Amino acid sequence: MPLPPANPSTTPPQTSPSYWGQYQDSLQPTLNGVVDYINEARVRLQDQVPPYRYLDQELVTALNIAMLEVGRVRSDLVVYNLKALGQIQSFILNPFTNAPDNTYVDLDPQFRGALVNGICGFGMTREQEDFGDARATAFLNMFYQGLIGKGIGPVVGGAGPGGR
Amino acid sequence: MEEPCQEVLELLASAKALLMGASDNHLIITLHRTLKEFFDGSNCWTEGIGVMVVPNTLDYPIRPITGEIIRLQAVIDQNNVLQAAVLLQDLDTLHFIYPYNNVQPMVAIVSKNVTSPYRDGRPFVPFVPKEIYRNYGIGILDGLVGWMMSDDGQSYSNPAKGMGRLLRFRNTIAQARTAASHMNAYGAQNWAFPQAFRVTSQKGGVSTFNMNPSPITAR
Repeated sequence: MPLPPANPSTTPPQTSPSYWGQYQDSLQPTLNGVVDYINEARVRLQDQVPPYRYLDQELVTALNIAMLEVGRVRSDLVVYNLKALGQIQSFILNPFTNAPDNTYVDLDPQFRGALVNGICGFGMTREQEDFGDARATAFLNMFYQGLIGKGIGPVVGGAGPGGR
Repeated sequence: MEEPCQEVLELLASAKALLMGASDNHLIITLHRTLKEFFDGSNCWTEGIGVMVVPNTLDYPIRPITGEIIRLQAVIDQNNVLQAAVLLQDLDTLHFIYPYNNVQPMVAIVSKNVTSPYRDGRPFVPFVPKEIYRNYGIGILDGLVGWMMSDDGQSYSNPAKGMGRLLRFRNTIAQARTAASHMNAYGAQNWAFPQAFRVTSQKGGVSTFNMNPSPITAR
């Protein structure tokens, strides 16, 4: 019979642990901090290999714009914080590392996926290619649908270069 | 502030399941608003607050253990005899109409409502005795969901269904008001205290509130 680990808390679990939460949104690990959002947005934007097409600063700015939109269309997600007096969170790069850090993004867990779509959508609006515009529009639609809609529509967009 | 009971957690979970896309904070704030309306309309959350009456003093501060006072239902002495008193504008001061000569205990029966739905600057489930949810949980759920569905431009907006829910909620308020006036006894007469405050019967003219009624006893 194998011996139990000396310090179970430092031993990686053998299987994926189910997260049951501690009744606080800030402890829900999925899409918790700024860096989580930026990393997930890079996955969807297919921009994971440096040098990046979308700079960290640009994606953090897209996150800030998306947060402003959250405050506009779903003000109930921000106004009830009496400590912040209804102000909307805004983020910067970590001044020491010049990279996104783990600052907590205060948002109900069920809307975090929508926020990632918003980052991608606002980040992609700078694109000039036709398919980029369509894909940005799709991301923004999913962002708004996730916040105030019932179902998230399909990811649609034009074909890639030369794919017509 | 006490921790939320299992009944209210179940109620919030049910509301969340019925309202796709509702935020936790908005649900709690709307629950608070629903409870405010419920207790204001029904007077069904009461507390008897003991007061030691002393000579030459008319005003006594009163403070409930939970919730906050919204109105005075009655003041009774140790013989269950009604005493004339009012609640001052601050809602925390009991004012007797007449002074007393002897030191004696009395009980002020007050209607209460929920307190602020915040803890540490964040929305927190307001405390309500779980007995309230036992009796009227379904109706309060109707009120909460009805209020939420009446919001504009949300994924859970549904004015037609919201109206139906709010009608059922109003029925629950009426039911709670009646049950409270009967002191939760089925088929009983109305509780004597509110009626006893009606110290004069109007025979004509314009009705005015009598600030200095003659001393009365419970009938």
